Amino acid sequence: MDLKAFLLGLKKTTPFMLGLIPFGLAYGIMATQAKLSLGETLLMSLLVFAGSAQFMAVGMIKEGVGTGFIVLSTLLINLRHLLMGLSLAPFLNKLNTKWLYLLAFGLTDEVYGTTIGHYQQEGRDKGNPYFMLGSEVGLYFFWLISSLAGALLGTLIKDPLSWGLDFAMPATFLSIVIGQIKSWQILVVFLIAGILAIVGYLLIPGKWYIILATVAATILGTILELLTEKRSTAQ
Amino acid sequence: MKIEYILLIILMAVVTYLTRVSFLVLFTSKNLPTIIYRALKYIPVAIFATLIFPGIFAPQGKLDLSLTNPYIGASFITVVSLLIGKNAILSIVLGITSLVVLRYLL
Repeated sequence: MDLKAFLLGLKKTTPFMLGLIPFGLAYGIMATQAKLSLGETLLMSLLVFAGSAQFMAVGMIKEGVGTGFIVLSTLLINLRHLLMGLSLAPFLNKLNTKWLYLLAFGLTDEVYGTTIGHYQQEGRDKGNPYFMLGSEVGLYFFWLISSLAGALLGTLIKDPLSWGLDFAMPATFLSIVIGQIKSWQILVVFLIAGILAIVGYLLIPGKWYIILATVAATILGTILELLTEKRSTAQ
Repeated sequence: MKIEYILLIILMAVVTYLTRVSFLVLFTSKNLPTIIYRALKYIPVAIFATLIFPGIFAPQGKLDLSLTNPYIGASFITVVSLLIGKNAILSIVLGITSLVVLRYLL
């Protein structure tokens, strides 16, 4: 066990763990309002561990939507994790498959952000699984505790998403991404993906905008890179 | 606990896990074409952008590019602080604080 890497992963995830609190509370409150019992509310956080899917599910339960449709929506909302898995794969090449099956459970947006940022500095094939595990354990713990608190305290808490802590998540993603913008192509990809995401978010239902904007911007970046290379070899 | 909710939760857990595990396992220990590795480099930044932009520029689900949108000001302060200070934690705290202040002022 590589305790140092585990603790580093935990430490680097701290801003996300704090930023998760208002969302966990809000989920707990919403689940209670949808008439889920304390056990059911916690069980969902324990087994699913996916913020946006859980929000959506309790909203649908409250509206009386059927199981099949909720499960299908969960699948669609989580399809973005395919891209995250693909993106992490080259760094975890040397690992035993058992590790992959374990680490996949906690592959949330926040864990992905923390881990990919760290792995890119380490290089291909050199991803330390304990780093990702530390990140996942920290985030999981905070998700469970804040879901529980939300379900217990319920409406005693007034609108947890308006405290300002809701900005911890975008601010942390910003802090990771700023260091990664090292070429003009990457900056273009970042801005185009962002603009496409806004347009998609406003026009397309669900979370498809994440996948569509990511794939489009990634292709654009690759083409830009190839064109720049061609031009420099032609000169 | 209601049996139908337990079933729902288990099914949700299964499909969520499948989306997280499938590409991770499928694409490790494989030599992909070089072009794919080149493209993969851009995925993180693109994903980050899709997670950041809508929440800042369309916070209530509606496009808001006005100066009274506190998220734009708070993001600007966070980015400037990151570029100058290179201290992530400090910039995040500054960003959250400025959002609270801007919400109060605007």
